[in-house]
Amino acid sequence: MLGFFQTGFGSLTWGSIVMIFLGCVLLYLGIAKKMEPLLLVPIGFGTVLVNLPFGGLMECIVAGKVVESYAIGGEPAGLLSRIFYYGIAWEIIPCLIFLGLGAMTDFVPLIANPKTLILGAGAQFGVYFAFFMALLIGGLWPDLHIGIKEACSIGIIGGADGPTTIYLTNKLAPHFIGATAVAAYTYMALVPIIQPPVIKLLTTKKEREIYMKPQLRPVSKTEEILFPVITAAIIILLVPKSAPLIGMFMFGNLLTVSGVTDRLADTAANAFINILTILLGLCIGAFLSAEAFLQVKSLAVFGLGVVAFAASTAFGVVLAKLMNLFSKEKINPMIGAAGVSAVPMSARVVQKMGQEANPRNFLLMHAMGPNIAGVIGTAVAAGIFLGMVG
Amino acid sequence: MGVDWGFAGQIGGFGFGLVFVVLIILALAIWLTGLILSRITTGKGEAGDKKK
Repeated sequence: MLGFFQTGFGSLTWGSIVMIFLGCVLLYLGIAKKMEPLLLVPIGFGTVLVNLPFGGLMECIVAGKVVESYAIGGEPAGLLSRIFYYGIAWEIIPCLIFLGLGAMTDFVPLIANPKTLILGAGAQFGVYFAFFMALLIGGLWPDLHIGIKEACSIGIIGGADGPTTIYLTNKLAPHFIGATAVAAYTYMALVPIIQPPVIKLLTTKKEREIYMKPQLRPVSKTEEILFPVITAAIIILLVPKSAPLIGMFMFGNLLTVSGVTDRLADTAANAFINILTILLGLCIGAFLSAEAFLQVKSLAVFGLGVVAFAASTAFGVVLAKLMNLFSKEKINPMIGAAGVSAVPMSARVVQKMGQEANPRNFLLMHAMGPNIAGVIGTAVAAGIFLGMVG
Repeated sequence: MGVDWGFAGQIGGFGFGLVFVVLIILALAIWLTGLILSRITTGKGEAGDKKK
């Protein structure tokens, strides 16, 4: 009876059960532990959904045949495969997320203290370190098929910027997009766990206690308005391929600081970015199917991702210590760790550690400068990769 | 998959260097803008004082 009707039970594999469990872990971390719930809840639920057999959410048609998982070059036929194809493969969602981020970001700490841009640049070290590590591993294990383009996509995880990672990987190595996107977003959520040991390893207690005056210099409204225009012009002239990311980022900020487009700024910073986050989160989760994810190459990407992230944190701290050798007014070297672009988690970690070391210290605003500089730096690094190998 | 280490070195070395150059140029531009704007504001303030 009902032989024509097929349930999914019979087709559950060990792989899909493992991935459903992983999805539940992500949901638990997001809901119970409140670790980046805006990211982990959609990603976790997407993971559960896509691993339930015959749901067809990531179906694609390849040469007239329907396949369950997403296939590059195939015609999307499922709900999430269509969202992925038109939203991400067409490079729309990651760039528009930058528009929302720009509208949400307060650049005043960066404008007040532009030298923090150097810390944002230094924290890109992890990107290039992981790039070489990926090439080395690709050379040692040819079966992983890691060439220069794949290495660029893995390296950019070190920037801890999800949309940039997705944008670059989609352009250079779309077959790696699931692993790199999940690694980038997972490490962004794990900032409070990954960064403190690296910071503690590279700083003495005395250095962590360095006091920074809480006030930054006042920034005029004209400066705030000129900032996105000047930044977009300079960066796009120097690194043209960064235009989609930097252009949207600065446009979003202009909407906010101009003071005449409040409705647009409000939409970009709230409803718009929320919609995009839902779509992006579900799509990333949908890439965590057992057949796509439970592979050695995904584990390699995950391993290299954490190396990239730790190296970025480390170099940011070391650079801040180097800057202290040449500057009269000492900076707390921990703010260098905020040069990775996980905004504002990284700055919050520095603030918390700063207060633990010296309760008088209030480092949040100081750490926001390198933190925002890190977003710009990662987008620039992605643009350079695209300009050289894209 | 063979790796062209020469090209990889160019990407790594030139790329990381260029990130620094771009962000240093940007830092200088932001600093200069702030300086010019503060000079203009101070100049306007002094001119207003003289008129009074």
